[in-house]
Amino acid sequence: MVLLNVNSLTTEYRTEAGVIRAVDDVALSVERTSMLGIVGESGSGKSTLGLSIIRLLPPMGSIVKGSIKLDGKDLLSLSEEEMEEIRGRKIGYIFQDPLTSLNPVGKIKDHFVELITNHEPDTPVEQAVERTRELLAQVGISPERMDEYPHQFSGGMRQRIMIGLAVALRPDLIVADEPTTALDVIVQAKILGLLNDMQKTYDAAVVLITHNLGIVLERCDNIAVMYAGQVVESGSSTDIYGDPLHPYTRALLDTTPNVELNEQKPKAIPGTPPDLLNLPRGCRFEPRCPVAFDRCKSEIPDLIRKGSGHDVRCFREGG
Amino acid sequence: MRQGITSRSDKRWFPVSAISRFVALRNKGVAGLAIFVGTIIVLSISLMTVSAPWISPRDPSAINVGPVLASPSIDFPLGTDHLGRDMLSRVISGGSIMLQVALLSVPICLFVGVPIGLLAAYIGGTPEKVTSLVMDCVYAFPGLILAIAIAAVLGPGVFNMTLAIVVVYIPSYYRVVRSQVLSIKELTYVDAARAIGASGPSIVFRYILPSVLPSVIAVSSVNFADAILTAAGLTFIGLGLPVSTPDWGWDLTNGRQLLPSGAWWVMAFPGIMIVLLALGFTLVGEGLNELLNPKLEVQVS
Repeated sequence: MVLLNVNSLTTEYRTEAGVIRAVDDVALSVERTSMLGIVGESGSGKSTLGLSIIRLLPPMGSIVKGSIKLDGKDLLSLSEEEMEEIRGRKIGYIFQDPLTSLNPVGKIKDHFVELITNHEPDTPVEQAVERTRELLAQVGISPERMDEYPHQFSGGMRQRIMIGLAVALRPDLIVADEPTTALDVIVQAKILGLLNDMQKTYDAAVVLITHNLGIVLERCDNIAVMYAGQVVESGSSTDIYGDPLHPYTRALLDTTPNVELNEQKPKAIPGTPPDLLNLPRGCRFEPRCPVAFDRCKSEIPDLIRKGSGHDVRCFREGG
Repeated sequence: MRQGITSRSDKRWFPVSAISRFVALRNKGVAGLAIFVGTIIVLSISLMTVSAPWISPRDPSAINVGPVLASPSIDFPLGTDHLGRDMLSRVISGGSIMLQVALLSVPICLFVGVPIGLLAAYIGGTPEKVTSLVMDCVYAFPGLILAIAIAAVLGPGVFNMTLAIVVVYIPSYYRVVRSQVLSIKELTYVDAARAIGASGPSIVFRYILPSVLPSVIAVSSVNFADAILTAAGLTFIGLGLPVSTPDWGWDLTNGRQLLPSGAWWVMAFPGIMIVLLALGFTLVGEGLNELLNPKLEVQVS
C-alpha cells in the first residue's frame, strides 16, 4: 500500500543570482513500512526534497508545482496550522547535525513532553514523562538522564534522542536527512541499526536521504538516485545493485569500495555536478558521462520504465 | 561552572541554598568576585536609602540644623552645606530618587525592548527594517543629550525622568536581542522544533527567548548603572526634581558652586555615593556578562 506519493514535485529557490530549480519534476512513492533511500551528491536536491515533504523550506524556497500525497491527503493544499499537526505526528524528521538539533536550554525530558503535549493536549504530564522514559530506553539512552541538557550528551547519543523524538508519536513516515553524516563510522552503523529497529517497532516507512550509496544498498528496499535536481534512476535495491542502468548510478557504484573485487580501487567520478543556474542544454550528466553521444548534448531524456518498478533517465536505455 | 550548577542538586530551603551559592561566587574567578562585590555594594546602598527615615540623624531637608558650611566634625560627620543642612542625612537619603528611577526604567526598557527585538528579528522583512531604522535613529543620539532634551520638554519628576531614560535605553535591548535572534533562528534546533510541529509563538518563547535571556540580563544590569548616571546627570543640571528633595545629583550642583570657598565636603560625599552605586551595578553587569556570555561558554561535544 502506498503511503507517500510525490508527483512532479518542483521546488525552486529565488536567489540574487537567479532562480535555482533544486528539485525538478520529481516523482516518488513510498510503500507503508518500507524504506526508500534517496542518494545523490551535494547539491543534487535531496535535502530540498526532504524539506519539501514537510514544507519547511527556507524563506527563499518554494514549491512551484506538483503534489505530495500522504495517505491520500495532499500536503500542499493544507494550511500552516494543519501542517503543524502533521509534523511530528504523521511525519517524523531527523536532521543532519545532531549537535545543533536540540534546544540547548531545554532538558531532554522537556523536548519529549512538549512534543507529546503539543499534539495531544489532553495527555497528563506524568504520562508524557512515562512515555519519555520508555522511548529513551528504546533508543538506548538511560532514562535517568532525561533531566540533563543536550550539551551533556555525545553526538551519537543526541542523534538517538532525535530518533526517539521522531518516533514518539508513532508517525507513519520518518524522513531522515543524512542522519549519520556528522557521526563517525561505528556510531553511524549503530544509528542506522537503531533507525531500522524503530521502523520495525513502529511500523513506519522511512525516507533515508544520504550521499552514501553503500548505506542505502544495505538498508533500503527501494532507491532513488538524484542528479542535479532530477531522479535519474529508481528501483529496488536489487535492481540498482545488480543491474544499474544509468551511467551515473554505475559510476556511483564504482566509487564504493568493494571487498569482493579487491584488485579494483574505488573510482572517482571525473568533473563536478553542473551549476544549477547554468544547466547543460541536454542531459544534465552529459558533461561527465563516459558513454554520452551527440543526442545527449541537445535533448533531455525522459524517465522511462524498464521492467517492474525500475525507472531510468538515459538515451542509451531508450529514454 | 555549568557542571556545578546542574550536577549538584541542592535540597536545602531555597533562600538558604541561594545565599550559599551567592557566597560561593567569590571563588568563581574575577567575574564571580565582581558580581559578589557589586551585589554587596548595591544592596547596602539600597538598604541605607530605604531605611533613611529611621537612620538619618536629622531631617535631610531642614535648614539651619547646624552652622552654615561647617567642615566634617563629630556632630556633623560629613559637614553641612550653605543652608546649614546636615550632609550625612542628605547622603543617607539622597539615593532614593535615583534608585526609584532605575528600578522603574529598567523593567520598562526590558518589557518593551526585548519583545520588539524578538518579534522583529523573528518575523524579519519590512517590520524588522522599519523597527531597526527607528531604533538606530534613537541610538545614534548621544544618550545623555537625548535624555536631557526629553526631560526638558516633559518637566521635572520621577516619572518623566524614567520616561527619558526608557526612550534612550530601549534601543540597546532591541539591538542585542535582535542580533541574537537573527543568528539563533537559523540554527537547526529551531527547524527541528518546527519539524515536530511546534507553532510560531511556541518557537519564539520556548526555543529562542531562553537563549537570548543571558545577554538581556547582562545588558539590564549595565543599564542600571547607566540609568543611575543619567538620573544623576538630569538632577545635576536641575531637570530632575523639585529643589526641596534631597538628591545626590542636586547636591553635586550645590557643591560645585561652593567648591571655590573650600567646602569640598558638600560635593565630594554625594559624588562618591553616585560613583559607588554605579560601580556596584557595573560590577554586577560585567560579571554577569562574563559568566553568561555564550561566546565564552565551552561547548562539550
